[in-house]
Amino acid sequence: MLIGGYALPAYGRIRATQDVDIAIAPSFPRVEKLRKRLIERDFQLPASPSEQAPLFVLTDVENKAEIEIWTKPDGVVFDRDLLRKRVRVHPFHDDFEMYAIGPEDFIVNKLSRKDRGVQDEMDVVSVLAHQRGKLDCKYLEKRAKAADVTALLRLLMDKVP
Amino acid sequence: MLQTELAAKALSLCSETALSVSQFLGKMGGNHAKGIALARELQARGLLLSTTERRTKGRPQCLLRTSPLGQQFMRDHSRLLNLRLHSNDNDIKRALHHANLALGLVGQQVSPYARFQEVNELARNIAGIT
Repeated sequence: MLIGGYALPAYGRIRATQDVDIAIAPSFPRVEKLRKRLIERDFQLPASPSEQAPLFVLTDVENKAEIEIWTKPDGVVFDRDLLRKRVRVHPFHDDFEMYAIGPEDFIVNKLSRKDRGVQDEMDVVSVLAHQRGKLDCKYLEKRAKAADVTALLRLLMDKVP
Repeated sequence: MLQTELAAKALSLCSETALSVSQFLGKMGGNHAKGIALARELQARGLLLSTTERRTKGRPQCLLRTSPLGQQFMRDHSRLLNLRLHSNDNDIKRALHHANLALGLVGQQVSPYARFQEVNELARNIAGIT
C-alpha cells in the first residue's frame, strides 16, 4: 500500500516526489522471504531488514530509485479499518492497480512522523482542504487520538484555507 | 531579490485605492529611493500597474494600482503567513536528502528534470488526471 507523498495525489494536491514509501504488513519471517525475492530481482538492500526497525530501504538499480518499505509506519495501525479506508490507484494509467492509504490514515501517518517537517504539515492541510466534507471525522479523531497527534491536527484544521 | 514582506505591504497599500507616487512613498515610509526601486521592481514583475491620469490642473498624475497578479500574490502571501510554516532541522535534512538523490541521478547520467517529469506523470495518474 502506497503511503507518503505518492499517496497524496489520490485525495490531496499533486506533488511530485522521489520518495517512494510503501507499507507492508507481513509477519517477520515473510519479510525475510521478501528480502530474498527482492535480491533475486536485482534490488539492492543496503541493510538487512530488522524486526525492530520500522522500515528498510531498497534500491531499484534498474530505475535508479530508492524505495522505503515500512513495516511499522508511524501512527498507522494495520487493521480492518485501515484496509477498508484504503483506495485503489493506477500509477501507470493502465490496468496495473495498487492501494494507497486512506486519507484519514494518511493524515495521521504524516503527523506522527518523527521526522515531520513543513512539507508534511502542508500535505495534511492539502488533504483537509481537498477532502472537506468527505473525511470520516470520527475515524480521523480516533486515529489521531491513538497516535497522540490530536492537538496538532486541530491546529492544522484551523489553517485550512 | 524581491523582499516579500515589503512587496506585500506595498501591494496592500495600492490594492484598495490607487495611490500617487508621493502618497505611496509617504505610506511606505523609509528611504524614497528604495521605495521607488521597489515600485519599479513590482511593475517589472507585473504585480503593480502604473497609469497616468490627466487632471484639470497641473501635470498628469502617475497612479499606482495593484494588478490582478499582485492581488493573487497578496492572497498567497497571506495564506502562507497563516500556515504553521516553521522549517525545522527535518526540512533541512530532507532537502539535503533530495539534493543527494538528484546528485546520484546526475552521477548515473539520469537527468533530474526527466525524472521529475516521470514522477509528476505518476502523481497525475494517481490523481486520476489524464
